[in-house]
Formats: sequence, C-alpha cells, structure tokens
Amino acid sequence: MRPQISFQPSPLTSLFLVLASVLLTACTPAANMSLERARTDYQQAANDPAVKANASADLFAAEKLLQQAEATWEEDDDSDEVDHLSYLTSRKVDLARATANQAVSKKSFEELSGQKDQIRLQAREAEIAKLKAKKVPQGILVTLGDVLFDTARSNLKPGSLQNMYPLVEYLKRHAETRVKIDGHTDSRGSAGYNANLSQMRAEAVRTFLITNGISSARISAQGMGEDYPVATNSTAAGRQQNRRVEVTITDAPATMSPTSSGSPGSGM
Amino acid sequence: MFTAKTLLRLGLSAALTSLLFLMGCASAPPTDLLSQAELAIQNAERAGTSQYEPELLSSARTKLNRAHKRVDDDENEEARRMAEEAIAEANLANAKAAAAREANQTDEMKKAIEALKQETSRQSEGH
Repeated sequence: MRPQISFQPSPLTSLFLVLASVLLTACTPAANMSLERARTDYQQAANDPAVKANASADLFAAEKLLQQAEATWEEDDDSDEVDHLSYLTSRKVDLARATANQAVSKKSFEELSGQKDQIRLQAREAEIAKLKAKKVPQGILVTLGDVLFDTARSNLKPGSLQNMYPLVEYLKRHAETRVKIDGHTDSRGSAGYNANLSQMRAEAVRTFLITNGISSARISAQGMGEDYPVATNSTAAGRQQNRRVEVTITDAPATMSPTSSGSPGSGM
Repeated sequence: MFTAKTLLRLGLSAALTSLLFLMGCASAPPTDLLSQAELAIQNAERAGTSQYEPELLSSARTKLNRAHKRVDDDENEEARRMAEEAIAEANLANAKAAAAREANQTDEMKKAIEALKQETSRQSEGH
C-alpha cells in the first residue's frame, strides 16, 4: 500500500497516531454519554417555567446530584460512579417533571371544578326562573294563580294546564325532591266552605301531577282555607292574589316535616 | 505463652486480613439503603402505582434484587448504586402515577362539564 507518494503516513506514524488518540481519549474528560444526558435533562427542566414554579425542591435536588456527577467526573475516572450519579440526576429531573405535571393538572382541575359549580348554579337559576319559582327557606315555591280554577270549582280548567307542565318537567328532572301543595282561598264565603274548597283544589293539583307520572309518595296536599292571605281581601285584585295554590318543592324529605305543621306561604 | 514468632504470625495475619478487607469491600453493606428501597417499592405498590408505571416499578424491584446479590458477593459499592437507583425509580414511579391520576381526574371533570353544558342547553331549548 505504498505506491502513492504524497501525504501517506508510514505504518509507524499511523501506529503512533492511533496510540496517541487512544491515550487522548482515555485521559481527557471528553464525553461521558450519561453525564451529557444528565446535563441536558437538567438544563431543559431548569428552563421550563412549569417545573421551576411547581417543583423547585426536586429541581434543586437534581442540581445537587448533577454537581456530584460533575465533580466525580473531574476528580477521578470512576466511570461507574459517574454513570450512576448521572442516572440519578436524570431520574430526579423526571421526578421534578412529574411533580410539575401533577401540580399543573391539579390547578386546572380546581379551575374546572369552579367552572362546573358556576354552570350548575346558572342552570339552577335558569330552571327556577323558567318555573317562575321563588326561593324560600324550605326550597322553592311555585305559586299557581287562580286561573287554574273557575269560581267555586275545584276541577282544573283545561286551558290552564300548560301552566303546569314546567312544574311536571321540573319534578321529573329532580326525582329526589318532594312536593307540598297548599290550597288557599280569599275570604268570601264561610271559613269551612273555603277550607273544603282549598283542600279540593290542592287535591286536584296533586292528582294532575300523579296523572303525569309523579309518584304519589312524593306529594302531599292540604287545604289552608282563607287564613293565609298574601294580599288584602277588600279589593278584587287582592282577592285574586289570595286565590292560589302554592307548591313548595323541597330537596330532602327531612326538611319537609317541620314545615307541615307551620304556615307555608305565610309572610308574603 | 506466646513466642515472638507466633506473635509475629498473628500480627501479620491480622494485617493481611484487614488489608484484604479494605481492598475487597471498601465499605460496609448498604443495609439502610436496602431497606429504604424495599420501603419505597412497597409504598409505590400499595399506592397502586403498578397500574400506571409497571415497568419502572419492576425495574426498581430488579435493581433491589441485584443489590442484594451484590451484597452477597461483597461488592458493596455496586450494591449501594443499585439500591440508590431502585429508590429513585420507585419514587419516580410513584410521582408519575400520582401525576397520571391527577390528569385523569382533570379529564373526567372536563367530560362532566361538557355533559352538563349539553344538558343545560337541551333544557333551555325544550319547552
């Protein structure tokens, strides 16, 4: 292999070069693969704002490990130990990332959770508005006006039924609720007559709800007579307001019993 | 009734033994690290980490087993490294699993919100 004259090194020179390069590689701290990777891993994580913000302790621990690895690499050539420390550094960086990920997820979970509560609340408000209901301590109160009945009659007017459907729909959607129906009259006629009439009207509403698929176990109905007016009985307009059926919807059965003896709809 | 010769012999053998000891195992077995690793792995297993990070966890277990073997062979330096890596891997598995669980919860919450939005829009459209 010596026909060429130009810069072809002699076999001796080649041998020398090879030897020299071997020696150089052995002695200079050129590249330790795992240490290189540890450095890169650490740098990337240290530049990541999410890691810095959420996993500073882990990041600091990784930095310490990396320093140890670097020191070992410079001081002696125990490559097993350098590999080991570099490996620990990289795993610690992974740990920092995992910690950061968890914190970020947790934050967005909390945000979403608040968002969900907000949507629920809005939906609830919209529902109550649609029902034209009023919030009361026991739950919500729907007042059905006297348009439901003809004077002195206790059967529901066919034309008034569509006023009842939002109520049925609501009760179907909230199967856990209970319903208390109270009939009220104005003060015309005898008290006994009015008590009876209000009872029959409350029962009519109850029957309507049951017919439309609401379980009878959820519904109680009673006549309150003329004793709980919400307006004056001395004007026609006032009397019209007093002729009404009040439907109180409560969430839990327990909250119903204390009010059943009281005066629902009073104070209005 | 020791003669000078026996004394010398004893001294020599003692020196030899300690020299051998120093050379063979520069350090004592990493007993604390081994039990720490065992604990870290058990904690991770108890936390259901194997469901999310089975490979890391079994790697930690393998390294701990290897560490025990190295102790048997009096290679305590290597045993220490293996135990330390086992601890690092078990802890990492734990943290990754926790992050995954948190991410799952967040996804569930996103779905729940989507469902809620659809439901409410359906309600306001109907009737």
